[in-house]
Amino acid sequence: MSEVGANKSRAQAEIVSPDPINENASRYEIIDTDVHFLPDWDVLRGYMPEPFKSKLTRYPLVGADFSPQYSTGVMGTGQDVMGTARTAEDVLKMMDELHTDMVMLVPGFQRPQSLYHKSWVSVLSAAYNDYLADKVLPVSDRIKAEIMINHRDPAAGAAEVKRVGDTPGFISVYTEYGGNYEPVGTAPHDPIFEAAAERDLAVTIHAGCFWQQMSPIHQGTRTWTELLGIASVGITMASVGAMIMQGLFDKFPDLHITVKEGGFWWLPEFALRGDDFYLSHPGDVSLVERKVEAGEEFLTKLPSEYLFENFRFSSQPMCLPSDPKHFQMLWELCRGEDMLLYSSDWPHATFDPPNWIFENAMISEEARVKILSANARNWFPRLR
Amino acid sequence: MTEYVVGRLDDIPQDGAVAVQAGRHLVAVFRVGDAVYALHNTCPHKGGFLCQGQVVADKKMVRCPWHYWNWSLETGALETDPRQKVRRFEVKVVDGEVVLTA
Repeated sequence: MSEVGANKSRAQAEIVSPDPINENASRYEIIDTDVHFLPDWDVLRGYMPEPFKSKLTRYPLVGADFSPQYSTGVMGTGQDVMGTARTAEDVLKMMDELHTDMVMLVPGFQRPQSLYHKSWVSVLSAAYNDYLADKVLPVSDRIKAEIMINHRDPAAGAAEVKRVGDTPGFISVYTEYGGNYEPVGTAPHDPIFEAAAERDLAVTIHAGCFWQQMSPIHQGTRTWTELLGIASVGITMASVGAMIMQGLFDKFPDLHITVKEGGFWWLPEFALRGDDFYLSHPGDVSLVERKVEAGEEFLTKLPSEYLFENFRFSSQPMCLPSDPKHFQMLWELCRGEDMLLYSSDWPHATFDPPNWIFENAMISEEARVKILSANARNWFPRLR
Repeated sequence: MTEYVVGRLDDIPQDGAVAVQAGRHLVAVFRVGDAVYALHNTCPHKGGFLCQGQVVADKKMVRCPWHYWNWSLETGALETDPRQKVRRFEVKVVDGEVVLTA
């Protein structure tokens, strides 16, 4: 800093180009478990069979008559406010900008499971997976991805897992949950879970198939905060509840479900209420398909045990209480240190950089390492 | 408090901003027409840098680039909830030079 001109009382301010990502980010291994990848549509069409290649000239605007544009002013259902990753090179550039060591790509297409044409979902999923296998995953070991499936046609979903599941770089199966159809955790979806479990693939369920006309829980909503901010947490709880109470983890005990963008601070309510309800009202568990098939009367464990053993949660959006004491309480109740996997949700408008992990005095050094990468490495069998 | 020379007015892009290190403060200095404004550079929400935000000239606001929180350039108040504020600094143009007090 130097003094300027004749005015000796003024100092020179330095014009700088600061990096908004916390300076400590480059000192840690960071695995971002939720980065949305949106290949060019015409490129994907090249991977589609006819008649889809000729007919699907654009991605259908599924449920887009209410889009986030009213709340953010940004057009487009994907809200790619931070940029758009269409190629492996785009992904690597984004990773460098955010000091990220590894990413898990998830589809940038919004609400595909809400398409009534099941064939479209299958074709889009296959084209997306083939493009990743062909042009993206071979480029860098730092890029991992999840297998997009059509979960509403479980046979097709399972077939897709089997078709591409052995491709290096795929570490999980991906779908969205919500909508006006069965929760993804029910028994009819077992072919998908079986195919994943056989291949050491985790399964991701990502908040997504909401929108007023697509989901009873969202009917009547009029604002983005209701839609994505609040109601989607309710449908997350319902989806997790279906998995647990309908015996998914008694049939596939080692199955790992990663919940993305489904909220997190609700875990204590789920655990306490779930256990109490189950212990007081267990009689109907024996009637669910998996228990009928197995001839079992009850769950093997309490609902809260499955919750903390078979699930992990992506961290974004991390909504921090203003009082650090409250953060500490929630953190402990939710077992944040073990349950969270860092995610940014790049490039969406709900983007979360890792800054909060570095700037919160309540998060220990050990917890920091776990959230940023160690939990993910332990959680995804193919990252071990 | 110290007075800092940021530079000439023309060093700041029209309807844009520069970030300056003024002592211990990282400050975003904005220009709308010939008027200048200065706010703490870091958005209190999640730490986006306001110098990289979009200046909404007619409303005299800056939009945080990460989550679109709109901050008043004149008062530092949040548009949606004016009780929340980002720190504002005094800044003026003196003989074509932008002078910041921080």
